[in-house]
Amino acid sequence: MGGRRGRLSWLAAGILLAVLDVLVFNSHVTDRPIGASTTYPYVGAKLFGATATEYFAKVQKPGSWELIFLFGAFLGGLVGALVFGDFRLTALHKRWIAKKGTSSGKRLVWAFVGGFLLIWGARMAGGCTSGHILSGGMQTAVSSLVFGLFVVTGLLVVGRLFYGGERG
Amino acid sequence: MFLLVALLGFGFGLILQRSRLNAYDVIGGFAMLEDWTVPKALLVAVGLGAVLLTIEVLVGWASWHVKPLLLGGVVVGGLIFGAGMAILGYCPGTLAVSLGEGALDAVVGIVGGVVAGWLFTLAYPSIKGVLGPNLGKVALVQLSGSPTGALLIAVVFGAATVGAAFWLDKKFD
Repeated sequence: MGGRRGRLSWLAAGILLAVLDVLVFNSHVTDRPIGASTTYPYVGAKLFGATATEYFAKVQKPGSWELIFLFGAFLGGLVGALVFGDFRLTALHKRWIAKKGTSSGKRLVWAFVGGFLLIWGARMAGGCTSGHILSGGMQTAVSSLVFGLFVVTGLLVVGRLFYGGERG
Repeated sequence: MFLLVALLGFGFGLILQRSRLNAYDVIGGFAMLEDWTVPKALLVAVGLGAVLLTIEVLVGWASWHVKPLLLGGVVVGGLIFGAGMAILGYCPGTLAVSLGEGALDAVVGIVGGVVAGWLFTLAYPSIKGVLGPNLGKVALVQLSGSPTGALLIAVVFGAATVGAAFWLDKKFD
């Protein structure tokens, strides 16, 4: 596991994310907000042949942009992890093991379920943590603020049911 | 274009990786009320971003891209999204970053997400009725109708969210 070297605090990360998104918004840069979740219907429709649909026509342009953006994010994660010693091929993480044990199979089944719900919910709402909460939140968009409120509600309620309450 | 967008994504991934905001233990840890990094960082980003972006739009360097308030979609989708985020411990964007770190559960999470995206594409004509009503593209900063008012609202909003982040930090860490 990596150490503290080169770590960013929550405050530094928040400042850098704000500056990055303001840059992405700039008319001379990309003239759109950061977003991620449209990648998934875009890739799914391409892979499984659902491109002659009303929804694909809607997501084609943002989807291809976000796929490139996430490809870059993947490389950023890879380089950061390799340089600072965080790279680890594993399905299990400290807090999962503490609550759910050491079965990788169980973790992977739940990861599929979680990934499915995540993208289904994002597509119903028209955005995710990046497109709605971060980019919409900084526009003070009411849709994004309402989304954020219900995400936190779903997260904390299901978190409590799924992982159990505080111990001790 | 490809290179520029990939480079911006690279910066995004590096910021998340270096702050651990992409990690299962950090996002899942928030669902367990054991880690407050995610809400603290997002509150700061949103608050500072609101002020910077409002200035950027007012000087004509950017435009607003506000999403419509589709009430049913945002409320029901938000709850489902939150449920998935708790179980998975990643978001649509951080999945890609954690994939880069070697997280195998992120690989499976991406597969689940792609399947959901495909099925949503097919189901869209029959469920789009549930996503409304569309209450329009409303943003707090646009309510006053004047540049000074917009900046004032952004500053108050920013102070409140950044203040909330420091309050969370003091209370829980």
